[in-house]
Amino acid sequence: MNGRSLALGQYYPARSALHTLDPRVKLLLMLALVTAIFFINNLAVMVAAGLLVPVLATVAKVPYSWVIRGLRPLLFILILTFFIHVFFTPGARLAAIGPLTATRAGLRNGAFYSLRLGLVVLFSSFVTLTTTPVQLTDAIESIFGPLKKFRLPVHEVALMMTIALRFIPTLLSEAETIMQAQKARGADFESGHIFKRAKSFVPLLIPLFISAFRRADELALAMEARGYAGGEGRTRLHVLKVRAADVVWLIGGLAVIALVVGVRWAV
Amino acid sequence: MLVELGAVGYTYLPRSEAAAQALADVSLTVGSGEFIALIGPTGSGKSTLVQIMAGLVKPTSGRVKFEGNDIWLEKARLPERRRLVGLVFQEPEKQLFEMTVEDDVAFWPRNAGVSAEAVPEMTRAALEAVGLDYPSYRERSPFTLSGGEMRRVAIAGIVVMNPRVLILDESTVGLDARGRMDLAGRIRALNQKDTAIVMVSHDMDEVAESADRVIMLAQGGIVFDGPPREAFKQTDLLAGIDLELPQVARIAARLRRQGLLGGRLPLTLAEIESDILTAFGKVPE
Repeated sequence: MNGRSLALGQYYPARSALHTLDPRVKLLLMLALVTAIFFINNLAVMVAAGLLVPVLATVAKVPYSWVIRGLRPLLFILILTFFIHVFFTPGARLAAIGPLTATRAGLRNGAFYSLRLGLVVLFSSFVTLTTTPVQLTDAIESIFGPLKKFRLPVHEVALMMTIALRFIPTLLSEAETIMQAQKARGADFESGHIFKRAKSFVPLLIPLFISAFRRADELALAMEARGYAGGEGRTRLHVLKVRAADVVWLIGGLAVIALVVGVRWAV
Repeated sequence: MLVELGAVGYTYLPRSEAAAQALADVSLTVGSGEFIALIGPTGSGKSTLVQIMAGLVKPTSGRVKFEGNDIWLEKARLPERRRLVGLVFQEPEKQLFEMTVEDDVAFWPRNAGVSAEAVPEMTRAALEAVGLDYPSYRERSPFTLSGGEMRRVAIAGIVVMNPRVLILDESTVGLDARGRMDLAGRIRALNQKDTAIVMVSHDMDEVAESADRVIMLAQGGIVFDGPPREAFKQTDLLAGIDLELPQVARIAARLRRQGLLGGRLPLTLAEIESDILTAFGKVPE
């Protein structure tokens, strides 16, 4: 066992208004907000929208550093976007590095587009930061629920997502154990060229697959033994219920978003 | 000393909020030919400790020495030094992966660069040490075997290394009674051939039958280290870690209360047999 399982996913446990908000409302607001970002056509408004990030972080009681961390995998693309715009937008010359010319308009565009990209990621990350994976799949099942009328297996897909998420930490810790066990009999996972190293993972992967299949089998049996029959007629421990606070958030959120979008035509 | 742990500590996720200390200030030695039982409640750090003793996990503090050499000082020599200690994990049958029993047991010799001619002989010896007949098992797929046979194949995969210290982490758990006794006997036979054994166990009968030294672990620290007879006198310690005396000792305690038995505390079947015979005025054979 090691700590990897603890750091899995982005969820930041805390008690905040955003954490207790109905996950469906969160998903819808996030979708609306991200769409709104694409309507913004003005750098000043974009910066203003950016100010929502620290506000949301404060409301959600998530440390700023934790929020910013969500940008890390995107850092390279953000920087690339910025520099491509800086150097490849025609306009008044600002500075030149070799054959590349930076322009004033380019600087503006670069800031605008990388900010847009960054904000889309940051805003959507607030959903995963404040919602457990299980709540999230519940919300997805609820939102897509009407599709059951068209015989789409909404419940089954949501259940599969939940089970998959639930077993990621289990698989990680098992992989860790098997790796140690194979190391104990001389396996080497670290050295050698790429083919040798790929081959060295066979003693890890085969036992891991075997136990994953066995576990899936056992889980299916255990669920059937307890009479699990899927979506129809199933009751829930945590029923998603829209409360007054959810409505307030939804209306307030949509109003702010409408304002952001409206500026496009007002100014 | 084969293995020497000096003030070893282990903390999960050090320097984070979730930091959890699994072991603190553990010092112990394993000498040639010893048979040590490592006992303690769930979560006392036994599994972490044996992985540190096998040189698989680096302690967050303290030193691990194999035959006097600090193993974490020269990382390059680590794989070769690990041969000294073989660790059989819990449910080791989960690590089988080859197509045949022979290939699976031969995994270590082939990795370690043992000459191809020597491999079959080593494999045969290892399988026989765990009680499996080499000619009838070598070609079989490990996944067609029974749970008990798979367990033995997996143990053979470690025994094949000829380690000077063999650590078994609850290796007889989940076997039937006869399989348990047989395997315990084979482990004792390895011990008689001068392999030091460290056995993690919850089965006090097994501990009483086999071990000549007991190390008790509680909350990440050693609370007792001594001979079994002394260990089983520590009734407060044992109760504190939710372990009972061996069945033989419990029976003896009742007989003693009835005034039928006196003298020493018997731990094994042979001991209580001779005590009872003596009490009835007969001479034990």
